[in-house]
Amino acid sequence: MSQGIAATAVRWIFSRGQKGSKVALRAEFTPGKVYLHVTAPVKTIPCVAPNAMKLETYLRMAEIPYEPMYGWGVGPKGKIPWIEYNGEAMGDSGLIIEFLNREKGVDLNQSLSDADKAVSRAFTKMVEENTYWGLARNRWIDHFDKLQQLYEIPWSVMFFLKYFGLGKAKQAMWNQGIGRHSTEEVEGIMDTDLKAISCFLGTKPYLMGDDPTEVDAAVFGQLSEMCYCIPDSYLYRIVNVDYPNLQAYCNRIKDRYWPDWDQLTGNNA
Amino acid sequence: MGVGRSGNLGAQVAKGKVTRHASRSNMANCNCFFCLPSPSEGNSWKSTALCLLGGAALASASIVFVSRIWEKFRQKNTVYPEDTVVLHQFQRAKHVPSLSPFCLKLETFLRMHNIPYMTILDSPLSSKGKMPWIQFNQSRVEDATFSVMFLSETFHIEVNGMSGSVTSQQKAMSRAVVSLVEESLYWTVAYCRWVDHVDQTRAELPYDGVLKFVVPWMMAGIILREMYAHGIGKNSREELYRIMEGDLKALSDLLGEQSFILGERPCEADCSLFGVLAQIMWTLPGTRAEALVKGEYINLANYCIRMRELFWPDWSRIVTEKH
Repeated sequence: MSQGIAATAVRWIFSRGQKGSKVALRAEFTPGKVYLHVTAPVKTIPCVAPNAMKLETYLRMAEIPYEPMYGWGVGPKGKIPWIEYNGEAMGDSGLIIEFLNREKGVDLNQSLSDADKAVSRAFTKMVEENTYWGLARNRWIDHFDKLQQLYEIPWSVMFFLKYFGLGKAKQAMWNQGIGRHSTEEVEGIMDTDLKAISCFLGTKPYLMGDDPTEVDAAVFGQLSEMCYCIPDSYLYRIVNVDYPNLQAYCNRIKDRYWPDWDQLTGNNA
Repeated sequence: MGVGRSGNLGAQVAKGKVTRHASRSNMANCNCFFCLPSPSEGNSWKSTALCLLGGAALASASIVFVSRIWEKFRQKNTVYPEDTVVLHQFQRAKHVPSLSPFCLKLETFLRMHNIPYMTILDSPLSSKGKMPWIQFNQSRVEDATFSVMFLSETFHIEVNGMSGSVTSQQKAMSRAVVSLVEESLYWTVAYCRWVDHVDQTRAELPYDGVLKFVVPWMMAGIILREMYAHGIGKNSREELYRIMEGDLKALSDLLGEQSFILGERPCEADCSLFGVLAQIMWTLPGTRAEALVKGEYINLANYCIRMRELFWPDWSRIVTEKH
């Protein structure tokens, strides 16, 4: 596995951030089957990438059978997760979900009105385009020393990440915007976002009501990374202590859609 | 006796083949970089041209650098009236008060809550390299979002409602809508403006001469780089427009027949939304964005006009192109 990480890291650094990546596809595949490329489970969580947790939770919610392919290889858009379907590679979890909705005739949002779908989209965007960056910053800048333990990578790969990856991550965060704020400011932003989710959720079992919808997959994807990883971070505290309905919400989804959580996390690839 | 430009100068110095000239007196025998034999006749105009170009670039960069430093120094030492918010932003534009959705958002917010303010146009960027930023008495706040939070605290404004109580659900929805507008729709509109329809944008810019070409070229690079870092830039052109359409549909559905995005009272989300929609309405003629807002999602266009009439009655006086 560490060779895969090192190979990906080298390719990433020397690709100079080019738009596409060539991916090696399976020679044989079952038509209509989803091959899901994600990183292997670690002790704390089945996947350390929030969008991978989102996509896999969506597949479980929609009852779409899939086969997980563990590794660190990135997809055609240079991101994880990605899927192979009928011999073609597809990147970006949002686009994959749209595609699978069409292909498999799935609609987790069918009970929602147009206005509710709009609210659902707004919360999805908030959690993926704003809250996500606070999580990334928290991991890569505030708790970089904990990354090795979280990702379960050897010190050699950690060394590589520190001297070649960290600078690039910081640059990306500066360009995105979150890297320009101080740690206190980012904590404030995260608290506001998580408070919004907590207030909107209230006492409801799921964000939009009694039944889970697509936005729950997206929100769980991000929140699970905060709820179960890096207990020292303020994100862990905010989700588990400050807004306990968020912790209860995460556990609810975990119990319903991830009954094999302990089996996955106790079994490292 | 020259070393030739293809040689490894460092290695040759180390081997003693090339010596750095210690004084002007032995420059004639020197083989260092600065005393390398002059190029042949045929190349002299090229090297002269290069020197002139390099010199011009260096001179312009120095002038810009020094003037910015001077401007920052002057700003630091300027005394502004008390209890007045000083809003630092870009220049006024031809058809909108600001081409930056965030500057327009913040100024609309100030007007919405009748906060006394003055504008400094063409101000230097904040220490985070962004615009807008504000000063208020001794405080300085950068970033539109933090400015809104600061102003709400200072002026005791219920951020997500003009007056009266606002439910926590509505506050939460406001936050989500702001994210949708600023973290998703904004990027698709920025792409439309600076990458896809740069010719129309050039006509909108309040600059003349060479800046009309330099600024769009720089902005396209900045926007693409930021979008790529954000992640949204990894999508194709068609995918970006699909995201834009999805976002506009969601906002149109949410607005419905209401006066404002979350009901009958305006809030911060309205300022964000107006900041971006105004760009689509009045600075992107003939684009798909404009067609969507003025066509299928026409309630957004009507909303935009309503916001303009409510909070910008002096709009035609402020924009630079007078009708």
